[in-house]
Amino acid sequence: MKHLCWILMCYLISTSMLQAESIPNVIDGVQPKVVKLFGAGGLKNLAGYGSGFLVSADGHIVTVWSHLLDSDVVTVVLSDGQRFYGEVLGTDSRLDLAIIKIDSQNLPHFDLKQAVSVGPGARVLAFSNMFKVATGDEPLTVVHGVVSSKTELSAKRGRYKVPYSGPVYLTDAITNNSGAAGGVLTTYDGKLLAMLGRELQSEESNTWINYAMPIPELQGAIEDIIAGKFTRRDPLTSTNKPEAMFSTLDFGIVLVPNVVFRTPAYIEAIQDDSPAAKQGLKPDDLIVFANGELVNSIQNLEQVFAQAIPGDDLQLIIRRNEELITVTFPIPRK
Amino acid sequence: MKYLSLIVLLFTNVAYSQDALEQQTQQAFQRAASVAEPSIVRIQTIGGVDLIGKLLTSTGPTTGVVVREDGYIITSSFNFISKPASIIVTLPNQERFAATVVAQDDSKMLTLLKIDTKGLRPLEPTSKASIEVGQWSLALGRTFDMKFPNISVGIVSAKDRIWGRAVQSDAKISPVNYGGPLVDIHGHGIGILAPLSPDRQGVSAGVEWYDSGIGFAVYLEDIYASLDRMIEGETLKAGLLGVSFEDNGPLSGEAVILKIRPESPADQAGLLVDDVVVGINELPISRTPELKHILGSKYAGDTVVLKIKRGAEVFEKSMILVGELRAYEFAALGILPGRDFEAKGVSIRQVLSETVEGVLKPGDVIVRLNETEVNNRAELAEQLTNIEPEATVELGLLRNAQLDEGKIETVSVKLQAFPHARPDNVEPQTASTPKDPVTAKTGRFNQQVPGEEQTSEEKNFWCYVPENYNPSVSYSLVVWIHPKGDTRESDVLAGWKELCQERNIILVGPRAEDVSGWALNEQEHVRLASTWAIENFTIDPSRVALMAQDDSGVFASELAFKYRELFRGMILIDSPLRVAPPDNDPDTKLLICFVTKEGSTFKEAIEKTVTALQKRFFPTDHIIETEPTQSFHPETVHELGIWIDAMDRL
Repeated sequence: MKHLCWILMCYLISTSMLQAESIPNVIDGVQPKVVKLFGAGGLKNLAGYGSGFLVSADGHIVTVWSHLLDSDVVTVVLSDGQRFYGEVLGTDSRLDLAIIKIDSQNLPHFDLKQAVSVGPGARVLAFSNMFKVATGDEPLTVVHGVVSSKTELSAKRGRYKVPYSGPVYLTDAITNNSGAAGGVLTTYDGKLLAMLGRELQSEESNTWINYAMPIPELQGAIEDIIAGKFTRRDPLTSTNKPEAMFSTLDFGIVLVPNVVFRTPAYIEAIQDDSPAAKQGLKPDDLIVFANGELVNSIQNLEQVFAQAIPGDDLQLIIRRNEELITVTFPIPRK
Repeated sequence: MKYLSLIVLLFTNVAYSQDALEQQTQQAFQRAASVAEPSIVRIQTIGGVDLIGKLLTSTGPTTGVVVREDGYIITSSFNFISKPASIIVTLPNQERFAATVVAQDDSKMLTLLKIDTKGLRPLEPTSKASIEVGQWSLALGRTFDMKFPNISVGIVSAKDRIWGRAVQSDAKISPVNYGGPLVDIHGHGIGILAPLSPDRQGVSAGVEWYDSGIGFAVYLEDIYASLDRMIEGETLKAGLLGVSFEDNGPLSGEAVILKIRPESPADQAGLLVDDVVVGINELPISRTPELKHILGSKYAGDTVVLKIKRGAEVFEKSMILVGELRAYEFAALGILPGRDFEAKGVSIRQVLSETVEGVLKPGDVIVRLNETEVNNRAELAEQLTNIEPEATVELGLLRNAQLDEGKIETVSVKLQAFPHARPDNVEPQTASTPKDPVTAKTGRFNQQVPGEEQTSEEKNFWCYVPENYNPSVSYSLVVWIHPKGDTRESDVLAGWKELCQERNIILVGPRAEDVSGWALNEQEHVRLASTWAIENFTIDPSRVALMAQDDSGVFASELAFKYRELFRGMILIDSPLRVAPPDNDPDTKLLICFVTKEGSTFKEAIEKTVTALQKRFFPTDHIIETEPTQSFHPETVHELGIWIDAMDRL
């Protein structure tokens, strides 16, 4: 009996780790669900090709919203080489997303509801037609790597030149190549994780980044577009950006002259009886954080002040010699 | 029966054990990152310049690693390339501190920071000896997410790279993890990620390799070994001996000393040219690279004991390495040598210096310098690098009338410092009519770099070879590095064509792939274009110069400092030097000429650059244009022609 228990235990342990299929099987399973796209483009630096993946048996294909779709028809080539003309069913520029429909049935596809989430260090596979090396019935390119990080691509406008601003997976698999956008990122056992993003350079590190948009972030919009319920959320019409309300001077802070692109926010003087004076700020203090954001220039700091909301608190962290001091200003209602 | 079925089940699982391995591997990655995580901090900088050379400095967060409980953090110096006004460190628990720079390791490009706290967890190092090529290595940073490090996974590709300083990994190593650790599968520190380059120095050297499959980490064990010195505030510099060896290439043989720098540790220890280094600190040395590997991780101030073989004698000498050698100063005879390569000896084309006027005459042929025979110009130049300026030498001359008799006359000549300024005038050497019909392409034409045919159309370059090209005459090569936005081909051609014909100059004009500016990775393209010209035409290797204007000066200086064997001259028009120059190198003399328009906003900066370069004994000339012109002024082109023609002066 003891023996049996041992075998059972072994079995349970092994099965618990053996959810996965072998990698070649996983890849064989994913390939029929990903497609090659060909369309407008071909101009300098604009590839006329891309990748996408099927999310319904009736031929709904998800891809990134790009110039590729500018032409009336997009050519969709399935893994078995079948060629279809796809129609753009809808787009969501806010999510950098487009849905293409082809006229077919019983297609292998990803079930959006089965999409999973993983953390840093998780091993991943990325499927795409980068550099359009695959044509006809050739399978897409598979590359492997790990999730480097799950992070916000952009918390601040203008930091990245991309419409999508939600959380992303960053991977160390190089997917930052022509035509890779719209491909899929899966786990090592073939579960749907995310859609590969565009070729993008981070303005923070000036390096090319490999990112993918998690399916749970896109799922609602995908389903709405397929169901025909999608209402366009155009970011241009919804900009009710408040006018610049405040500046550092409103709080009695006089900064050093803003002479270079990255002038650090040193305090030159503090006006008497001002809120800053009451908080004990002094000349030569350096403002290093404002509302949790790093202040790497005067311009940066003024932006935070400009966007301050009346009634809220504005928190500043000051560097004085080797000390960091936190001060909080209540923002007056104007 | 029950038993059996279970066993069968178990067996079917064996087939899947590969997948169990995958799962376990993934968990091991995550565990390793978790183990190292408490020692990984975020670094942010405030202020500083936004452009270093062509490299846009990053504004985003970077990474550091705790190396002592009481607030010491090591990171890559790359993270402070912008010379920030303030440095902020955020601990894994989100606590923030202002950091001060304690010391730098200029040899391994590291910076030690201090924050005022206690109770931090230093990263446990793995021993260098235990690291094996092929083992997993994880590159970690804290740039994207405060909660958990960003991970890239690879293997250890090689050990003891960059002259023994670093381990190489194929994990993606880039500005998003420079300063962070490379850890093993147990989460112990192999090294600190940093951009490094085997053949170049500087904080940003090696950045062009980011995410390429080649990345480096400086051994953590070594960092701990020198940590006390850094904590004391000592700037660590690579330790130098002051010797150079015969044939620096990777295939070089035994370490025969070729040159010894005056006043260097080797000089003071009494080493001599032709001594062979056969051991260092008890370790035997049979080839030069072995010695360089051991010296590579030594610092200034370290003591080394060299075992020297001189003839039949073998002895040991102890010396303390230094961080800086006295800048090398070139000596000159004050002549312009002839370019007749077939004749034996070095003929004098023109006497440039007043001190040798009358002693040396045009037409004299130098056949001996002190005790050594001189066969050609290269040999003479080489021999002169071993002699200090102000020294007096004996020259053996064949005088015009005695050429046939072969009688050697000996004269005594006092050498002088190599002149910065070009001569007042150099008579052009007319290209004689070629004996055989010229088959080489002449005139202006487009050319593709061999082997690059597949790449885009923009990747070719233009070339101008004077129509009177004669392969038996040696030509100068000027490589035009166009400013951004405009290749200015017709301007250059219009301004230079006549000069090229008069003074035997070939022009090569590579084109930036994106006309809006040169990318670092286009260095190779320029090198190949220049090499193509050298291989296909008769070009004097000592008269190959880069010419750049305005913003392309940065790219040109990077090229000149990187390919020192290839480029011996650099003309910078209206562009101060924005890249720190390397040490003057006796084997690869680099002549520099600045051209400034009177009233240019850069005039002051250029004058400062000229002074600084001259102090470091780079032969540096300066042409000031008095008449403001939009294009190449004929007068300036004429002066540049003289400068180029006199590049091979000795």
